[in-house]
Amino acid sequence: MDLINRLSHLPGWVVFAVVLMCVTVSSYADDLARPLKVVEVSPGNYVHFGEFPPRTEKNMGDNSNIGFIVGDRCVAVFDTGGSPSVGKRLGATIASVTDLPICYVVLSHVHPDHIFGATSFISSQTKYLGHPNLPKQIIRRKNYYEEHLSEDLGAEEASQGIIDPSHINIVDHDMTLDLGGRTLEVRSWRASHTDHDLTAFDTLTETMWTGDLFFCEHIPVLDSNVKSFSVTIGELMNLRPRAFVPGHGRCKEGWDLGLQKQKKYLSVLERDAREAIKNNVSLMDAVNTVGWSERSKWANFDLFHRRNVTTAYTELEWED
Amino acid sequence: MLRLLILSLNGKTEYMIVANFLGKSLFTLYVGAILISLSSHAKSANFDSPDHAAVPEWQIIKDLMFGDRPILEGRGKIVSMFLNTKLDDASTVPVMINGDGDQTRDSYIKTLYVVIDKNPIPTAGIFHFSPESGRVKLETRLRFEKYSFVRAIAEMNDGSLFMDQQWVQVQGGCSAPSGRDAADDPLLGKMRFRFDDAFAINEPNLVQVQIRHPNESALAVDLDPNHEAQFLNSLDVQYNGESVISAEVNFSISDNPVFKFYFFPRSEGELTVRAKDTHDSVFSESIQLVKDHSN
Repeated sequence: MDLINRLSHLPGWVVFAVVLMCVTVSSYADDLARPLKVVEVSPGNYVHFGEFPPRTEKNMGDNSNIGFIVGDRCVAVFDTGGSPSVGKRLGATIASVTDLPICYVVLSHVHPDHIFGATSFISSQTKYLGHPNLPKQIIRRKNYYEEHLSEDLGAEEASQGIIDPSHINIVDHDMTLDLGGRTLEVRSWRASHTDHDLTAFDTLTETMWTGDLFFCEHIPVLDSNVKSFSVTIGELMNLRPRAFVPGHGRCKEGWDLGLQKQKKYLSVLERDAREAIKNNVSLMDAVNTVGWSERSKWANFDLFHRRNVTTAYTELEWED
Repeated sequence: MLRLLILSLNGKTEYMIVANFLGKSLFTLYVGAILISLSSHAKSANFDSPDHAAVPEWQIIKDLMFGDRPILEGRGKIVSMFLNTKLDDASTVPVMINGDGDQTRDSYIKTLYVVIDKNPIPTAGIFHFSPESGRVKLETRLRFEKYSFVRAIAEMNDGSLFMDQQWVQVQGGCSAPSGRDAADDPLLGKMRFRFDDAFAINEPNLVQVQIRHPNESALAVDLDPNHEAQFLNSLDVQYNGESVISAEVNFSISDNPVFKFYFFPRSEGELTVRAKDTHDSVFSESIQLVKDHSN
C-alpha cells in the first residue's frame, strides 16, 4: 500500500517505465530457468531443435540443433546455442534430466549459432573439445562476432564474449570420451562446412551428431570448400548410423536421402559455378543464376545461397 | 516514449528513483532493453537509402580529396556504377564501373576514385587510366565494413569531376575473415589472365587479372600480435611498356583480388601486371598476345 502511495507521486512516465521494466525483466529471467524443449532421439541422446536463422530478440540465438548425451558417469554437451541465455537454458534442461556433472562440451565449429552458449558451461569439471583450427578461428572472428551479437541481442548477451580459446582441448584426428557405460567418438574433419568441423558418435546407440556437416530442410551453408565438402558427404553416406542429429532442421527423409539431397545441392552449385566461370559469366551475375534450380527445395535459400555461390565461384576460379 | 525515457534517465535524479525501486542489476537490464530497441530502430532506419550528399564521412572525405571543386552527376554521361546492393557476402561484393564515353586524347577519364564512405580506409582504390586505354571499365570485388555508399568519381583530363554512387546494405566485410585460411598459400602471388574474346588489334580488349593474395584487412585479428596485415597497395599494368592502369589499392579490395579492364593494343605484344604489397613483396606476371590468340 505504501509502495502504491509512493508510486502515485511519481510522474506517469516513470510508472509506465517501471511496469514495462517489470514485464521485460520477468520474462527474461524466466527464460533462463525454463528448460528447452528436447527430444530423446535414442536412449540417452537428447536434442533441442533450434529455430532457423536469422537470429532475433525473439529466438535469442536459438538457431541450431543442440543437445547432450547422458552416460552413467557424466554428460557430454554437443553444441551450445547462439547466446549465453540459450546455453543457460540448455544447462537447466540437463539439470532437469540428470544430476550427473557435465564433463565435456563438444564444439562442432565456430559459427555464432553453435558457440555463443559455450561460456555458460565453464567449470573445473568441464573440458571443451574442438578441431585444431578452432582456436585460431575464434580469435580471428571474435571482435566481429561479439559486435554483431551485441547489435542483435543486446550488450548483456554479448558481455561474456565468445569462449576463450584457452579452454579448448584439441582433437587432432579423433578422440574417445568415456561417459560411463558408453563412449563418444569425436572426430575432426577436412575442410567441409568450415575448415574446422567436429562430429561426435555415441557408440552405444550408434547416434551420429553431425554439426553443420548435415543440413536438413535448411539450405546447406558453405564457409570453406565446395569440393572437399562433397567428399565429406560421400564419407558420411557410408556410415549409416541408427540415429542422427543434423546441425539444422529435421530429417524426415532419413540419413541416406537427406545426405543425397545435400550432395545434389553442392554438386549443382559446383557444376553451375564452373560453367559460369568457363563462360566468363561474372560473379555479379553468377550469384543470380548459379544453382537457382535448387531454390524450391530449401528454407532460407534467399538468405544464404548467394554467399554459397560466392564461396564456390571464388574457389573454383583458381582451378586448373 | 523511449526517447523521453532515455533523456530523463541520463539525469541523476531519475536514475536514483528507478535504481532505488528495483535495484541496480535490474536497472542495467532495462537499459539493455532500451539499447536493444534503439539498435533495431537504427537498423530499420538504415534500410532506406539516405541522402548521399549528407553523409558526414563523405563530407570530410570530399573536402580532403577534392576541396571545394564541384562534383557533377556522372551516371549515364561519364561514369556509371553497377552492383548488387543487397544480400551479398560483405567480404566479396562485385562491382562494375563503366566509363560512358570513349577515351580520346581530347577527353578522357584520367583517374577513377573508388570511395566507400564507412570503411576504415574509405579510399578503396585510385585508378589512373591513359587516353590509350580505348574505353574505361573497371570490375573488381569490394569489402564493406558497414552499410555505406560506394562512390565512383571520375576525374577528367581537364580536371572536372563526375560521380555515380550506390547504397550498399551489407556489413562486416573488413572485420570478418574469410572462411579460407590463406596462411602459407602455395599459390601466393600467382596470377591468372582471362579474356572474354579473341585478341584483336586496334580495338579495346577486355582482360581479367586474378591475383592470388589474402589481401588481409588490418581489422581481422590474428594469433600473433606482431603480425602486420599483408595487403596489396599498388598495381601497375602495362602493354608493351606503356601504362594501361596504375593504381593504389588497399584491403577494401577482397581477398584474391580480381580486376577486369580494357587495354588497346596497336600491335602484338606483352601484357604485364606488377603488384606490390605492404610487406614489400612484388608479384609480376606477363602474357604474350598474338593475333590468333584465343582463350
